[in-house]
Amino acid sequence: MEILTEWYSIAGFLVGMIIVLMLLGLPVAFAFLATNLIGAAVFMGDGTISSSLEAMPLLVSNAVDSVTMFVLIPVPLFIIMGELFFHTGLAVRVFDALDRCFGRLPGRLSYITVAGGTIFATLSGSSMANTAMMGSLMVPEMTKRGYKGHMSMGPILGTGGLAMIIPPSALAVLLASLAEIDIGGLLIAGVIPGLILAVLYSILIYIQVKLDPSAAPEYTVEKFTIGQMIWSLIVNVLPMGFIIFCVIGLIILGIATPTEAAGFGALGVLILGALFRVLTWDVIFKSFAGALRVTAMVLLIILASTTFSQLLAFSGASSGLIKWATQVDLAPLVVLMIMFGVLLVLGMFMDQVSMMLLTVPIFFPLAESFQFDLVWFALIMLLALEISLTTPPFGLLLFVMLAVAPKGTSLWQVAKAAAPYIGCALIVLVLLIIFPSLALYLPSLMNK
Amino acid sequence: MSTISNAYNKLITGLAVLGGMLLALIFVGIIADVTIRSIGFNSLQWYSAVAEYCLFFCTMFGAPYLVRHKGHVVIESLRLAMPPPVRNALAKVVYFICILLSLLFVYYGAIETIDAIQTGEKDIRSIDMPKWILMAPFPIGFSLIAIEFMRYLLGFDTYYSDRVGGGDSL
Repeated sequence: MEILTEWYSIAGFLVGMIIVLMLLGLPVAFAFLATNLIGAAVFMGDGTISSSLEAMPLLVSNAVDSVTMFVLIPVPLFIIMGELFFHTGLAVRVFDALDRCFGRLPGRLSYITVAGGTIFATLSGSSMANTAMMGSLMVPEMTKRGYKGHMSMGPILGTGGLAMIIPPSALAVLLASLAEIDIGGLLIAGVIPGLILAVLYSILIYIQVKLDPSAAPEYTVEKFTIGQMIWSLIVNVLPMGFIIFCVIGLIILGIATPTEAAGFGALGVLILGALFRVLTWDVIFKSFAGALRVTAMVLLIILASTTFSQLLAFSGASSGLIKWATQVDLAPLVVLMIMFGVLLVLGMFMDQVSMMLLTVPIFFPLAESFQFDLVWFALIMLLALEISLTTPPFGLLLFVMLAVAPKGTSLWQVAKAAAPYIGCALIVLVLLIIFPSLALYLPSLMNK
Repeated sequence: MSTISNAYNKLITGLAVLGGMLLALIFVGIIADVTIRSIGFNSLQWYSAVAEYCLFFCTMFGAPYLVRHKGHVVIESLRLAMPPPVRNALAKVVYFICILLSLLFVYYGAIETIDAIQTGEKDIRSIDMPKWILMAPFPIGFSLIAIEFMRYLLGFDTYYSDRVGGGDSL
C-alpha cells in the first residue's frame, strides 16, 4: 500500500471504494461498514486481514457511540411530526382551504401547490413525504384539468425540496449535529431563503402561464364569498401556526432547545389531530411505524459512517486536502463552487444522508479554514442537497414523482419539469453569496 | 419447520414494534422532561441517557425488519444497466458480503458484550448504566440482519425487487 501516501490517493481510495460498493448495489450502510473494515486495515494496521480484525473492537465501540448521541434526538421527532401530519389528514385540509382562495387565477393549481407545499415544508421535515403527498394529491387533479407536465410536476418537485430548507427540517438538524454547529441557528437561517425561493417559484409559474396559457387551461371553479374563504383559512390553515409556534417559537423564545422543540412540534400535531377529531390509534400506529422505518435506516447509515469520517481524519486525507486548498491560493468563492459542484455530482446517484456523511468531515474543516460562517455554509450545503434531489438521472425526488405521475411519463419529462425550479434555487444561491445576511439575520436576532 | 419460521417472523416484527414503542418513549420523555423543568422541578436526570440508549435500540431492533422489507437505501442505477444474469450473480455477491460483515459484527459485538458483563464495566452518562445493556442489542441486531440476508442468498426473495428509486429518506 505504498502508493497510499499522498492525501489525494488516500481520499480517492476511501471515497472511491464507497462509491464503487454503492454502485455495485450494496446497501449504503454496508458500503460504509466494508470500507471502514478495509480502511482500518490499511491505515491503522499493515493492510492484512489480521490487522483488519484487530481494529474490529474499535469499530464496534465507535458504531455504538455514534448513534447514542442526544443531538440526534430531533431526527426521529421531526419524522414523527411529519408522519402524523400526513396520516391525520391535516395536510389535505390545508390544500382544501387554499383551493377555495385562488379563484380563477390562471395556473391556480400550480400556485396552490407552491403555497401548500411551502406550508407543508414548515410542518414536515421530509422532502420525500412532501413530494409523495403533493404528487398523489395534485397531479391527478392537474392532469384532469389539462395542465401540461411541467406545470404540474415542476412546482411539486420545487416545493418538495423546500422542506429541507424551511424549518423544521430533519436533514438540517442532522447536518448541524454532524458538523457540530448551532442547530437552532441553522433551522432559523432557512426561513428567509426558503420564503424567497417560494416567491421565485410563484414568479416562475406566472411567466410560464404568460408564455403558454394553454399549459394551464382555465376551468370553472365553485365561487366562494370572501367570508367563506377567510373562515376556511381560519379553520384549516391558521391552526397550523400552532405547530410552527411549537417548533420555531419555542426555540426563538428560548423556552426549548431545538432538540426539545422537535418533540413539541409532534405534540402540536397530536393536539390538533385530537381537536379536529382525526386522531385514531390506527393513525398513531402508522405514523410511528413510518417514523421507525426512516429513523432506523438513517441511524444505521450514521452508525456505519462515523468511523469513515474518523478514518479520513486519521489517514491524513482531510488535513491534506485543507493544506492543499489553502496553499494553492484558490479564491474562497471558487472553493465554495467546487464544493457545491461536488454535491451536485454526488446527488446524481447518492441519497442526501450518505452525501452529508461523506462530505461533512471534508467540507466543514475546509469551510472553516476559509473563514466561512458555518451556519451560512451549512445552508448553502442544504441548498445544494435540495437541488441534487431533483438532478437527473438519479435524484430521488424524480423517482418519487415518477411513481405518482400519470402512466407513460418518462424520467426525462420529470427532470425537464424540474429544471426551471433548479434555476430558482441557483438564484437563491447567488443571493446568499451576495447577501449572507439573508441567512444570518434571523440567527443573529436569536443570539441577542 | 413452519412453527420456527412463524416464531422467527414474529420476532422480527415484534422487535420492530418494540423499536416503534421506544420512539414513543423518546417522544413522551422529552415532553415530560421539559414540562417538569418549566414548572420549576428538577429535570429528569435519567432521561437523556435513556433517550440515547433508545436511539441505538431503535436502530438495532428496526434494522432486521428493514432488511426484510427492503428498507435500507441502495443505488440501483448501475445494476439496472447490467444484463439479468450478471445482475443476479452480483446480488448474490452483495448478500454474501453483507452476511460476512454482519457475522463479524456479531462475533466482535458478542465479545465486547461478554467482556462488559465479566468486568462489570459501566457506561458513564447522565446516569451510570452497565455497559452490557448498551452493547447487547448490537450482536443481536446484526445476527438477525445476517439471517435476513441469508434468506436472500438462499433465493427466498430478492432485495432489489419492486423498488422505486432509493426507498425512504429524509
